This record gives sequence, C-alpha cells and structure tokens, in this order.
Amino acid sequence: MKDKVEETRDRRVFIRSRDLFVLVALVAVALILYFVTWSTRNSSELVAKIYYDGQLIEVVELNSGTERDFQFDVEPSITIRQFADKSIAFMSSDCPDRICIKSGRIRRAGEFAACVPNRFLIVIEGADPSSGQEDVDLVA
Amino acid sequence: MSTLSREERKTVSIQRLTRSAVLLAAALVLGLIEGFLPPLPAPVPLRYGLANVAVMATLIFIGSFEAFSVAFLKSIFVFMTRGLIAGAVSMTGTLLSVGVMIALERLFKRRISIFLLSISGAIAHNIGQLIFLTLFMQYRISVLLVGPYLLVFGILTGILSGALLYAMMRPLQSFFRRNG
Repeated sequence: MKDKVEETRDRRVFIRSRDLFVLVALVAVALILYFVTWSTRNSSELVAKIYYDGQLIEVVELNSGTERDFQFDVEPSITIRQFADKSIAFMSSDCPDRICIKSGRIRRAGEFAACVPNRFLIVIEGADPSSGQEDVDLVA
Repeated sequence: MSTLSREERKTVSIQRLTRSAVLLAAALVLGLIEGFLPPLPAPVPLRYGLANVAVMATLIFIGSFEAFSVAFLKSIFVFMTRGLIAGAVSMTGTLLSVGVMIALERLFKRRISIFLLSISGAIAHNIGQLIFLTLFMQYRISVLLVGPYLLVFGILTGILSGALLYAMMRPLQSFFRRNG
C-alpha cells in the first residue's frame, strides 16, 4: 500500500497534454472577458473612483495634462496623485505593507489599487454610463 | 497500515507531525522572502505565491489535513506579525486556495499534474482576496473588468510556483522517502 503511494508521488508530472485544454479554456475566458469589456476599456473618458470604507468619496476625471494631489480628512496619511499621463497612484500612506504604493500607477478601466488597512480603494472605470459594465457585481 | 504494530504507527504519526512542521517553517520563510521581492508589475495588487510551494509540497507528500493546517497556521502567523487586516486578507485567499487544491487532489486521485494544481491554487487565491475586498471594503468590483487580470496573472504566478515545486521534487522525494 505504502509502496503504491510512493510510486504515484514519483510519477508526479509537471504537465500533461490534457492540461493544455484547461490552459486554453482559461485563456479563452480571459480573452472573452477582455473583449466583452472592450468598449468600457477604450472609452476615451475614464474616471478614477476613490472609495473610503465602501463609500464613494471622490470621482477624478483622468484628463491628460492635469497633475494634482488629493488628501482626505478621514485619513490624513494618504496622498493620492493624479498624473498628467492620465494615470493615478497612491503616493503615501502609513499602512505597514505599502501594497497600495507598490501597486504603482493605474490607468486602464478595471485596474484598482487598494489600501486595505486604511480602507481606501481607487478603481478606474469608464465614464460613459451607457456601456453599463460598472453594475456587474461579484456577489450577485 | 494495518500491518504496522502500535509502536510503528506512533513513529509514523510523529514523522507526519515533524515533516509538517518543517514544511510550515518553509512556508513562513518563503512568505517573508516574498515580502522583500519587488512588486509584481501587475495592474491589480497580486502576490507571487511562493508560500504556496510549501503548501503544495505538504499536500503531495503528507496529506490533505496537514496541507490545510500548514496553510491555516501560515495565515495565523501573518495575523501575529502583520496585524489583523493583513492576516484576514491572507486567510481568505489561502483557505480558498488550499480548499480548491485539496478538492482537486482528491478528485484526480492524487495524480493531478503540478501545473494544474498550482494554477488552480493561484487563481483561487486571487478570487479569495477579491471576495475579501468585496466584503470588507463593500466595493462592487466588476468581475468582467478584473476577471482577465486575475486569470492571466493567476496562470503566470501558478506556473512560477509550480515550476519551483517541480524543481524541488527530487530533493523532497529523497527527504520524504525513508520512513524511520
């Protein structure tokens, strides 16, 4: 019995040919989702929505050429900077991991950066309400 | 197993315990190393999943219960060292990931390829963290928009941790082969 178990362990392979079907299926799902949201992604008007504790507190229009910093009374350690190349990023925060700052600049619809300890979240979305992709919800 | 004497059975259980402890230590160290690495150039916050190498090794060489324990205790360690919130983020991703891997390992009767095991674990980990963000930040994240990134980066980090485990298979086999 034990020998048999050892044998299956020894025969453990890295990849089987049938796994490629799974890989292709996953990539296909990713591509389909990517193209389904094509119009939102490429809408010329993008906004960055800033949430604090689940509440939308600021909507930043990502225009080219505007560079400015945002700070909020609810969490003074956080600085969010909008860049002239239509991107936005966390610049400072007092959280221990700095994952929000390490996320760097985000610029495309669907990208997000989160500071979980301070309950801050920035999400990029298409500003065009007719595209309707914003209402799809994870738990629904 | 039934042919073993009582003494021998005791040795086996102590062996499982010590081996799980060694792999838990490896998981903690890999988790720390991951913290020193530069962030992944991904548009959404994601991790490399190095600690998952040790969890998968536990699942393959010891068993489901031990793999769950290693994953759970690794998250408890994050709770103790990096605080409640980092621990909760780690916990949701890790538990969903190890749950999916245990289910697949059983479903394929312990013959699942490392590649499939590791990318499923990585994608489940990403989904778990997204669920945490949705519940904790009360944000309605658009699955359609975020989905492609989670899948593609889950595949890439899964291949990375799977390749690391595969490279370690031979030394791990010689470490785990002899009983007693």
